[in-house]
Amino acid sequence: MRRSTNFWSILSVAITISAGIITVLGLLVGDQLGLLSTLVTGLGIRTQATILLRIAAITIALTLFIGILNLLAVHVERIVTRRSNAFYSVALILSFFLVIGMYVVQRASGFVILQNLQISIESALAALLLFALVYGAATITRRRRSLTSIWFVGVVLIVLIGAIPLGEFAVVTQVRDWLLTVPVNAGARGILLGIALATLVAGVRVLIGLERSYRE
Amino acid sequence: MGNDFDNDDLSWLRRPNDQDDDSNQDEQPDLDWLIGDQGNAPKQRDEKRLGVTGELPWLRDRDSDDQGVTSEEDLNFDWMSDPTSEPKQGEQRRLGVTGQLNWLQDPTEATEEAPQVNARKSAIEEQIEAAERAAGVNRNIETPNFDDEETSALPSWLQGAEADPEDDLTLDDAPEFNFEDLVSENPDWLPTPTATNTPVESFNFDDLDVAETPDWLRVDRASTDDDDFFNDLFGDQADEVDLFAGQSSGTGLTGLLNADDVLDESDEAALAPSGTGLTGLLNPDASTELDSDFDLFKDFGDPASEDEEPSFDDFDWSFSEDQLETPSPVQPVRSSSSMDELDDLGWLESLEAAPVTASSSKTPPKADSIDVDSFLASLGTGSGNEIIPQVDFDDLANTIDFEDLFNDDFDQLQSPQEETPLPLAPDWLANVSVGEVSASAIVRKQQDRPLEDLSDRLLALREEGLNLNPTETVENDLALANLIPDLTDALPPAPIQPGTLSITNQLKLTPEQIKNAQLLAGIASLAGDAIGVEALRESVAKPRPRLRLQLKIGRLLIAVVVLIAVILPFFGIGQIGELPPGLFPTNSPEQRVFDQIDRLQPGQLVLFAAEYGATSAGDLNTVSDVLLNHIVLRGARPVIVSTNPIGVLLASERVTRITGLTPNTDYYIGGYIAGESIGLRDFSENLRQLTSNDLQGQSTGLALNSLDDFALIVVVAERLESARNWAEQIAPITNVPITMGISYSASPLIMPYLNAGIDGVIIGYEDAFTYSVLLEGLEGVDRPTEEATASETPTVETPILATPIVETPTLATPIAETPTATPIPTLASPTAQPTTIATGESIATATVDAIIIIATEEVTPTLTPENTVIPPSPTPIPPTPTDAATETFARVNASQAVNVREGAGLGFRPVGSVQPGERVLVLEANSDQTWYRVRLANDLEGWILGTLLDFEDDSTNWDDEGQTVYISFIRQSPPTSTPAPIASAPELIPYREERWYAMTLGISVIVLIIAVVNIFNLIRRGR
Amino acid sequence: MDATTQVLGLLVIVLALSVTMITTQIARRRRALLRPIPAYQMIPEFVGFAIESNRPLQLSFGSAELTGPSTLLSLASAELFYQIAQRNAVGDVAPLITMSNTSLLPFGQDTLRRAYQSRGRIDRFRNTNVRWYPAGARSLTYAAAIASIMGDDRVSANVFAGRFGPELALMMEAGLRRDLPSIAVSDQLEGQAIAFVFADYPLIGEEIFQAGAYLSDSASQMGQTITIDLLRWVLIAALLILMGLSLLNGV
Repeated sequence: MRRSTNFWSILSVAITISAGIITVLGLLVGDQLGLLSTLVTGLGIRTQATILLRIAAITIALTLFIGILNLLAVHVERIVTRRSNAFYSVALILSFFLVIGMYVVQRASGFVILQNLQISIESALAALLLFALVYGAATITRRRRSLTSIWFVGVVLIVLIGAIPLGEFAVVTQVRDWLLTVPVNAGARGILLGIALATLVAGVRVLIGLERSYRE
Repeated sequence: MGNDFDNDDLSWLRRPNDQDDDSNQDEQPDLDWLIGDQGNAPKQRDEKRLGVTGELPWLRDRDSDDQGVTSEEDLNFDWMSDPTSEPKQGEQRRLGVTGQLNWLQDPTEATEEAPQVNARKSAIEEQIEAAERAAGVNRNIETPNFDDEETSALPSWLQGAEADPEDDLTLDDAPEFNFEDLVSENPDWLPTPTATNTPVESFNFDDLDVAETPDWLRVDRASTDDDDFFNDLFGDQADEVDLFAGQSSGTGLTGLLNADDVLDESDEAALAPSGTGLTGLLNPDASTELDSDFDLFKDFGDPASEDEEPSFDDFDWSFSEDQLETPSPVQPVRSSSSMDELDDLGWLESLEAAPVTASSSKTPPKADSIDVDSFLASLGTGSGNEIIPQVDFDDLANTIDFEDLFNDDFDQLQSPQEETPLPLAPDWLANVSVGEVSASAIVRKQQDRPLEDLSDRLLALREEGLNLNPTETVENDLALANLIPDLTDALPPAPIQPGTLSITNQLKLTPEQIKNAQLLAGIASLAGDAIGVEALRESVAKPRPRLRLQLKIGRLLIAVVVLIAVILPFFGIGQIGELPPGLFPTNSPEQRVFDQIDRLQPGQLVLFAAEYGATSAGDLNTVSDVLLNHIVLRGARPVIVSTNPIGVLLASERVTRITGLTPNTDYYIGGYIAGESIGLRDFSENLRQLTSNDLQGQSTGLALNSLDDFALIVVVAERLESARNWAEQIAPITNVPITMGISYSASPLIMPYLNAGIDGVIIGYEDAFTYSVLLEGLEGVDRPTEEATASETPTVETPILATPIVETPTLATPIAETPTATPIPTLASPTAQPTTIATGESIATATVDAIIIIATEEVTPTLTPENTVIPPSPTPIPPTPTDAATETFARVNASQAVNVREGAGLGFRPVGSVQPGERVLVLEANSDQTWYRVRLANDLEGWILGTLLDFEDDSTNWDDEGQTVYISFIRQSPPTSTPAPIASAPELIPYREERWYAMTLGISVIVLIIAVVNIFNLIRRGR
Repeated sequence: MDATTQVLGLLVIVLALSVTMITTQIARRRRALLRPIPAYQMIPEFVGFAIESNRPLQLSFGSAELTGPSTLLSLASAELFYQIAQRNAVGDVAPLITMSNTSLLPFGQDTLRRAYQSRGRIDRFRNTNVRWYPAGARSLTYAAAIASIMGDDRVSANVFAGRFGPELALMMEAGLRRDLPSIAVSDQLEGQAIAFVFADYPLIGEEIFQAGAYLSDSASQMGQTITIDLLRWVLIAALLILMGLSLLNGV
């Protein structure tokens, strides 16, 4: 089925392209590029870029409300449809309104709840994370038995042993330092460079309108 | 976004309203493959899918019951024209499915240029003209005109078309179509089949003169008109028809298979006898696999599966049960083999290649049956072999050797406008990847289960799936396409590639799969037992329970062991390893952080960014503690912000633990900055607005204009990205130094930013430990009032930190009231308890939770160093030797240069340094003889730590063991004569040493666990 | 930002623009060979299993967002999820799309809706299939929530494609306990390492940006892949040249 090109579609793409170009020029072009700088300054592109950034920041901040509504909708639906473990959805919605109520009554209570509940729970989860990571590292060769996995485990062991402050492991510490400085750093930069390249290409595609996944 | 992955099933070949209606059983062949999409009606798949695309019902045996439905709509030639739009000016009217039926054009008008379309001509006339021109065939035939007598030369099925070009040629306008007439009434411009036609039974595509392949089989993608045609006719379905688009060497389907472009010799050698490309599709034993997106051939299936109605992701194209060794997996195969084995497709090579012959084993179809495709394909050969064979697709699936059909000879037929690599494109561009199989072959090898094995739900889904709109209506933005000419979203999937598949070496069936296979076998054996079959079917269809409730002993054991290892040091057991040093190396990044904060003046503002959450709280809370306390100790005022909402709260919680501070006076909680890097940029430009109110909404009273209003920026980050955001967004636009505290995991990657935006960094708990040791010797400064300026220096008489401390002193007996009687402190052992204060001063009240405040009620300074803003040390005590004529010398005993400080304490600013082994004159010592004022050779005077001096007088040698004290300072234990520290002495980091030992032992145990378990797994698997 | 950085930045953008346009044209005419990526090859199997078992797939953005460095990663992940959702549209149950950043919530809903709309199965689409769980980067509460929905919603398989940190270990470990196959990739190093360890079919780095090339027949997506490859070679050459120059200067 052929879909005709509609006005709103073209408008959204046009807005995206123009906003992207303005932002790039406004943020990238300083005062040292001669004519281009003059052009950017003369057209007030920097100001426009700043405005666009602010609009973006505000818009994104407003999506918090959308997220809260979504969260409530999901759990209300779960309750209404009597899905499994709907009890937890009930607890979530009740606690949601409870916290809001407490904050309205006494603003400091929110702080207390955060410190005593949120941080405590997340700290416990962080501790749980330790066990998950240990288990994952311990069982990697069971899930994926390969030279890559063996090498991975070896590096993990060297890094961990090098972190033990015992004089007997001084050599391992030096090996670890070299590992972190050279191959790990190189690999990390390689991955990050690759992602950055791909991000750059994707961004350019958005700038020229090739990437139009945001429209109807 | 990309289009539907199965767009390439050539749904455009389907009839728009295909119904499984056998009511119309006349012998008119099904021309649905000629008809494009006519509307929004949901497409129904033709059950009897034949042909390359499964959509060539004309290949069916016309006398069989499998005859596809033919309706009057079949003869709708709208595919020849765009019913919705007028041809563009100068645009060549598209002919045929691909618009390349140039051979239908009037040869007399065939030119290299696109013919001008006369809108007033009939649609058929235009198409014929264009086809003729493109083919360049000189047939000396005038443009057919339906209105003149020459139309009689046209077959009856072309006659009767209305001359009005505005009207679409509908079936109503055409006479009843009979393909036999097509044969008998061939116009002059169509070659007449002769008796020398190749019999159907021996029809072999090998005999097909590929040199004369019609243009519609080899679309020259260099032409933009094709794209326009597709875009006009099929709109968003252009992606589908691009299957035929020229690839690689620019020729239609040959692009899929051009060995020059996609294969090298080694690849060819690795191929199964069936070869590449379409051959691989058709050969049930091909060692190559299709890309999952290449649904063009997905219904080119085994004759046994012809009766099936495949769903859109069924792949019944080639395999038979006998040939496949593996059943269809119910669940995606878990990756249970090594990654190194992923590239091995040995199991595919074990499949026996079936011979592909061109001969049909079945009854040859009637010679007079119509095969339009073959007929069209044979046109132009001039060999008289033009026939319209009727090939039984059942045989075609196993007999046709498409390799010859789409061999490299096509390269010779490339039009002059053949697409050649652009000058900028290197030759290797065509082979940008490794020549391995790219298709999702692991799925292709699956065999579809018989319909009777499907549950009712799946059957219903299957029925629904057949009626689904298979195409994604990608919006065709001609405007944007014109922006980048020749651009469409059409690209056929990658071709079949030889080589090994990089999924698994061999299929590893899960227990569930084995069970299903056994059930299938049981069904086959219980064919006569309906009840048994039903029971088995239900049990097969039942979803497997996923949640395993049984206890995982391995996880539990690991957790318990690690937990025990972490807890034991808090009870004094297993305290192994060395504590972190008590000093940072000179001029190290860590020392720079300390010095930066130490230079702060009272009243100055410090921007404190807490960019971490609960995940790193255990590591970075200690860092925040030491940094915030140091800032507060210097009398500065931290302004806390973060792009992480949890980070703001964590830092707020840390600062509120410091008693004696007033919010919005002594510290400010600026709030959460939304948007990460964008938010930071905005923050830097709208500082006043974002710091005018605190997190609680109360006014802060700050009137900040720019980041330069801050004296220092301190960032505590858990992620490299957070640190980088500050280094990249904030550092370039301000002159304020930026120091960082970062987690251990991100430390390796932060180093490049040192000296490139970041002035200093401390890493994790270890540096926080050392920092806290340094802070222990630090004396607080008087905090200025609100009217105080940064230049105001505190008074010397009352060196207190905060009012509450002065008001409620709960001082214990001062440690050093009788310094003369104080024995020389000895070196601390590594197991010393961390309850001493380096300077031996009175300890502040217990009300201070997080700071060790050195405060005295009465201070009578007798020594006021010049040019200092730091309170002086306590009353100095003359050196032990009372003989004024005797000068005491000492030598610096250290492995590297030692700082000479303004006062007797680590918190004092260094005024110089002295090299190891240098001889200095000892002038005086402090009360507990831990620090000595010395005079260097250059007459510089200052204080040096006593442990770093070797007195020439043996009686004052404080090192009983004669050990050399290195710069790696180890904390001293308190003099034995000093009173016990106050039990409520506040500690900057509670259980500091225990936590360090717990980390050490925990890491050790984790290393053992990982090593042992992995070795065990390797040994066990190796057996 | 100094003038050199500005000029270099503009040059890089212009270079990327040029290469993109050229390679897109080339991709339309020539077929580029793509090395097999197991994760993409397993997508149809994941979808097939989800449909047959009548259980949803779980597709997670993680903490990717639309206002920072991971904006374009979000687009790439959305492309992958779109392809998966399109294939899954035949089934009864729509996949679940989760994120911990609210900025992606409308985008995720739009992605799922368009996928189902393209297949004419808009009736199967529900807004509540796209879910936000709080909140932010490295959110452990998000990880806990994802671990819980694996059981509550009887997820059939997991696809983690976005921004993940160490919290990915919690999610993947939960999936392991339930024997759920998984595909994972992250643009964070910690998350990437965990994805490699835990996932059945990990993607590495920029492979997430090639989802469109592998799963659709789009020439522009293929052009993007080729562009990335080309620019990678350009970068390698630049690094080698600069290294050589620095060595020469050092000598």
